Amino acid sequence: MPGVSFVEATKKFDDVVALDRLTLDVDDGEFLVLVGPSGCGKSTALRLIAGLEEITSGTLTIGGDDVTEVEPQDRDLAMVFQSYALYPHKSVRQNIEFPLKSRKVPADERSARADQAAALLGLSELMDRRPAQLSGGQRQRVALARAIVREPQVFLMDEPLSNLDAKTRVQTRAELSDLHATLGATIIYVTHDQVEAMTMGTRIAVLNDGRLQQVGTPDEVYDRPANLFVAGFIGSPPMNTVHAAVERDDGSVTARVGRSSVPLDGALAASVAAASVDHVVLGVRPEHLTIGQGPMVATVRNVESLGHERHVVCELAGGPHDPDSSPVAAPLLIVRQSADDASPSVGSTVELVPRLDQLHLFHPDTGERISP
Amino acid sequence: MALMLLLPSLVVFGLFVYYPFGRTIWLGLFRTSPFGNRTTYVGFEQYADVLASSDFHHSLWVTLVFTVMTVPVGLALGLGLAVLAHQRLSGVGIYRTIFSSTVATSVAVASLMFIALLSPSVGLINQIIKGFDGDPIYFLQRPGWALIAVAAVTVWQNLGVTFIVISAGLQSVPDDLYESARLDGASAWMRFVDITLPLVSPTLLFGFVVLTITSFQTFGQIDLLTGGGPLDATNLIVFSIYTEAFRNFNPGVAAAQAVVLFLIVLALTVVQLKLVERRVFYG
Amino acid sequence: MPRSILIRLLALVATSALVASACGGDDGPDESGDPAGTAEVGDVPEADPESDLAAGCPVDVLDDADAPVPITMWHSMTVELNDALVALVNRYNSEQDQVDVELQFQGGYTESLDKYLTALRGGTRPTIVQLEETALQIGIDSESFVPMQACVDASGYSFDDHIDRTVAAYTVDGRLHAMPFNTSNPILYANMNMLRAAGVEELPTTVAEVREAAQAVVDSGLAPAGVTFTTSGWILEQWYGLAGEPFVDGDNGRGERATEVLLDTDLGHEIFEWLGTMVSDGLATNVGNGENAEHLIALATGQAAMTLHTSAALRSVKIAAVDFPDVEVAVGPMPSFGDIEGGTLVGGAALWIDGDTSDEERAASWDFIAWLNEPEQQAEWHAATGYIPIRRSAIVLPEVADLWAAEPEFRVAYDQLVAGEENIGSAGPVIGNHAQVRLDAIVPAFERMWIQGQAPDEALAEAKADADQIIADYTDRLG
Repeated sequence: MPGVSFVEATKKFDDVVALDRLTLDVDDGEFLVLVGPSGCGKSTALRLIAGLEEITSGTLTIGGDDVTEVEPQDRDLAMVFQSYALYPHKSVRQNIEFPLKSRKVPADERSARADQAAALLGLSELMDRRPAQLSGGQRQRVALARAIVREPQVFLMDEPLSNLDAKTRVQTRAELSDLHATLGATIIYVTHDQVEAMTMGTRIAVLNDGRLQQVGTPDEVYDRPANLFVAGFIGSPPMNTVHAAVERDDGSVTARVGRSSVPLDGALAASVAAASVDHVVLGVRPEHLTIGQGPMVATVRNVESLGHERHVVCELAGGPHDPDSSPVAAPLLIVRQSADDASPSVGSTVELVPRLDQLHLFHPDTGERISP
Repeated sequence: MALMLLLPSLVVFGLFVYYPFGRTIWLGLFRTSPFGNRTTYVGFEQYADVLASSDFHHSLWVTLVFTVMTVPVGLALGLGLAVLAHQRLSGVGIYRTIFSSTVATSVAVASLMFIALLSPSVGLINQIIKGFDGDPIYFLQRPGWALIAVAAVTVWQNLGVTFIVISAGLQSVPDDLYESARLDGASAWMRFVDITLPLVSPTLLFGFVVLTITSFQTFGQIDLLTGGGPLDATNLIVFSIYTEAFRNFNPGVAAAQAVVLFLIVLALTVVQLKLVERRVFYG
Repeated sequence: MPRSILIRLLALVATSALVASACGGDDGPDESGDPAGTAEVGDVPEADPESDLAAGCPVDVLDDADAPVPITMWHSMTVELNDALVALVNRYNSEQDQVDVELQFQGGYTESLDKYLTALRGGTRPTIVQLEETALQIGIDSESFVPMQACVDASGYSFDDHIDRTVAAYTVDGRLHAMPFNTSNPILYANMNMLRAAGVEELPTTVAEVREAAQAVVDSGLAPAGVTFTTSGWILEQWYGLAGEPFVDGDNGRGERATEVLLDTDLGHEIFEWLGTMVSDGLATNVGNGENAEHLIALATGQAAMTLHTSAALRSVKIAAVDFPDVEVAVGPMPSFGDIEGGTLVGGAALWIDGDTSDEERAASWDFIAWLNEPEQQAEWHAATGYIPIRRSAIVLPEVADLWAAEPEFRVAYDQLVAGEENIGSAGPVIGNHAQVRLDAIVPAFERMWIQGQAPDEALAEAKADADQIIADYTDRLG
């Protein structure tokens, strides 16, 4: 099994911890996306797998074998670099054939396999060009062709779409997903773009500050973010989070922010009780808020129309509940509206209705999820 | 306006390059008294004499041999050291400093060092040879060795510059190309041949041309180490021009030789650029 | 070898190279004659206040000058030689108020001459320039100097106390062209310990004895060779001088302009034969041009027992020898071929007065040059440098007498110079392109003989042909 496993893997550059005790299993055939802001350690993790960096402590296994002492070329994997790392002095054909030539594959077989890979990626007409004569998308496909021509068990991709224009990016996303389906190989894909992560990954691993925050399918990560970081990072616009005071009255439990008071259902109330906190961070995604008759009172500060939908920026009335509010507790909420809905006017006072079955609660101090 | 801006450099170049150059060509047409005060026009006869002179042929030949001895070896060593010092190793900065240190060494200092190193009686190399019961080698005093010894000094002296220039060339090759090549399974040798060499080839061509010109202009180490001898074995062309002009008091002939040298170096450079440029990748 | 000794050796290399270049490694002409027509070559000129020349150097105008006359002197003295010269000039400037001398170092003699000749075509010229003895003919040919005879005549100067040959050396056609200043000649340096160990008790005085001593050293296995030779041309001219034979025609170039070298003589063949067979028989080694003192280092490190070198290096050699307790430095006169019928040539440098100067500057230059020639200054100069004092009365002054009592080696060169007979041969050759004759004709002949095994007669024939061609070319271009 060519799965990749990190166990308590740590990588330090001098005194800087780039990756902190990462434990992660990547299954065979999986399309795993490592996502996080820049500096989170995702590229380091990828380079550790590639063998371009040495692990400081912990273990890394590929297919069950410890690869600490295995040279990059012997790890049976291919990598697509952010810059594509095409050899500028070689033609497209020579670039694609290079991994085969390095491994002493006979010339005719080399040529046949390069043609095949090129055909798969629509490069057949470009084989004699040099990289400088190609567009960004074409170069990107040459890099992919060079990676797949050797048919490795694991592909590593380091932000391969970041240098492409928006349109090509969407197209290539789909192509990559198709490629994954076609080849059935394991792909480990690094990106800072949560849209790429959501759309392409079979699973997502969210990293921040060198630590793994959460691993799961896109839906799992989106629906049940493990902490405030994931909640804020996955989803666009991000989840609304505000500090709220827990109030209990006659068995009913509410979360109060300023003049707004959101009732918590039984499961949520139980989780608050289990966490024994009197404050929580209340989270609700913009699409789970509607303007109507509800428990939250707010003033419309801004309306951003995207054409197909609208983001209404509201300020909760009564100010922040928590006097020393941090940015996550800012009393601004975004409401995602369909373009068909009536747009509120800026400055008007509205009432907001959260979907009570789509509320998220986080620990006010640790930021960890406390709701089920 | 453009002319105004160019004027300062035109004046400087005119005064210090073009005027002397023109004068040199002109002077080459005259047979001169030892003091240059009386001249007889002999026209291109003097150039013809220079071209026909066996001494001049000899100096050209020695210079050519010297160039073949110094340039490829110098480039290869510079490239080798630059590649070694390009590794990500701890303490590599110390090596880089050492490798480039000959830049800060004058020809005079380098020559004195090699005089001490090559001395038949007390030189380190001959001490080692004596340690193996060998006879001392007269590196600078015998025709067979002298050119090799002077070439060695020259290679050493040029190494710093060559190293720095090639190192700069290596810096411009992105690291991810090497990383990609490693993942593609290329051996260290393949990475060197398939990635490093083609991508630093413009730098190597530059070094090739510059070192060739430099070797055609070699003077200081000859003056200090061998004085052109023994038996003209190290009488490189510029040194021979110098002795013609300043020891033999024959400025006319020296001027003619200098002009011929200029044309040879010019032709050589053009040929180098034309022939080699095809094999260079400019990115 | 201990590190400190290596460092001393390197220092020796450096200083010897400087001394060698500072004294030219050469020895030049000798005595000469009176004014043209009446004088014999080799005579010391006398002052003739009535001569036409005297007007060219009006020495009296100095007394009328309102302020010290500034003059510049280009020189080639380095290290301790430079220090000694600076000390002399400082003393001169402070002891009188008519002349102010400024020293300007111009590199070695060759560079200094190059610069001077270049300045003739436009450039700043000095008032006085120090040129080595091989520059005599080119100095005359340049027609750019005030003949020193003019000042001699104008001042009624007497050379009675000078060693005649030092004056005669710079006299051509009866006229003194430059004033002697720093004078040296070649002597034999030997490691007496090694010679004694080989059974040689006395320093050789003839080349035949040198050969016997070398044979003894080689036979006893004490050193790979008995003698080290340098590939320099001056040694040949010295033997001509010792034998009293002219090296070039035209009375050694002093009566008429030289047209050929007189190599094809019995003496010439004898010298080439001896030099060639010494090496081919394994009794001597050629250590190159000697510019890095390789011949002296070979002596110091026991590679050989004897070598020939300028007397001006004696101080440096003695300093370096301190580190080699096995080596006992002994020096003797230049060994001769047969009977000495002349003398070693006067080497070193002389002072020339530039012609593009005012009367006051010429008078000031002469005052300074004459002062440098005074016995007191010559004594100080000898003690500080090892150059031969050129005034007979200088040697009884305490500075010289004390030095000679303590280190008798220092009088060898003086005695040798004084002992020499005055004749055309010992006056030394005057050749227009003297340096080129040595380097492009004589030196290659030695190298062919020593390195390539060319027969001495063939080497000699080729050397003569080359030298004659060089002389002819120079004379022809002179027009």
